[in-house]
Amino acid sequence: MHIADGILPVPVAAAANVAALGAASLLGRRIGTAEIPKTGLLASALFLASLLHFPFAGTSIHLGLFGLAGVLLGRTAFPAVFIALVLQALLFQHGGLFAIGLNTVNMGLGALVAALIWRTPGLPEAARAFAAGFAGILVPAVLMSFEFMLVGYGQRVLFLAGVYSAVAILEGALTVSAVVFLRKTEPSLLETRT
Amino acid sequence: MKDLLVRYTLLAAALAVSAGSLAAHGLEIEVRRHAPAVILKASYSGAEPAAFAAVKIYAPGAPPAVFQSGNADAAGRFAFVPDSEGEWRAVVDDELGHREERRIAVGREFIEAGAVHAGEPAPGGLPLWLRAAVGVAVIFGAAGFFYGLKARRRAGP
Repeated sequence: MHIADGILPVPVAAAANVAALGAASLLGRRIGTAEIPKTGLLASALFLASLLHFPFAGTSIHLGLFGLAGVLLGRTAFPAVFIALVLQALLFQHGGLFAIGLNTVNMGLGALVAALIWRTPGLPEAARAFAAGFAGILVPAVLMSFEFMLVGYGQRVLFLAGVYSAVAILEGALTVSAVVFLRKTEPSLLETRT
Repeated sequence: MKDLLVRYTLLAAALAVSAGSLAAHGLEIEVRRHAPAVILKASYSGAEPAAFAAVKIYAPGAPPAVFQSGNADAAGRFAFVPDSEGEWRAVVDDELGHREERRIAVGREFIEAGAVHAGEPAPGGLPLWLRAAVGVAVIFGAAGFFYGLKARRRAGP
């Protein structure tokens, strides 16, 4: 899921860095004082999620939690994703430093789509939570596959899509569990204003 | 009769030289061990390297499974890291008609000598748990800082 340096052309990575930094600072200003602890907690969860990895189909998969971040933070999930990715690149070497913008755009858009799905009226809560968790992984995976295809990198795009579909199902189920748990214990956390 | 004998002698000599020449092109696989890797060097009778020859490594056990496949480098070298003890099999084929197979016994000590344990720090780096703790501390610290800053602004002078 994390793109390394040197895979996509430098101008594309540079443009993505500018876009990600701009969007993160713009959306970061919308975080209210009361929302800061929740954003910090979610950013920590996103940061640590990539350490939980499992062997799957000859490769290794890990959680992203972008869908859950979208559900709990709304649009301000984007800066949380940015912070988590910066620290992952610096401390775990997950993804390239110059590719942080690309990774933030891919995964941040996953969180934003999840936030949109979560707010879609007329659907049962569990269905919205599952779809949000699913999209939170599938959107970045599709974007990444598309970017790889554009630059002719790798021959395993379909394999990637298959692997990430499995992760998306797992994340969908995880998001439903989290929403059900929070609805029972702390429903105020499910109300986002951003 | 004497001419015929001379001709047969020359023919036999030519055949012997040809056979010697063919033998000189037989593939050989030299095995070196540097835990955790086994390094193969494929060459034509120990001289000319079998550059870019196709290599397949089979893990121990039945049915044999391809563990790794690829091509040797320009010097005929190919490395793999066995993950279990037993008799491994390397097959080198230059796809020009030369093929050689070598069985490589790998013991438990070799596997254990090269084992990299989860969470082991990179050379000169911090352990994984410490890096994770640093990351969480940075986020909590930043969140606390901005919380205090915003709360102070809200409270006014």
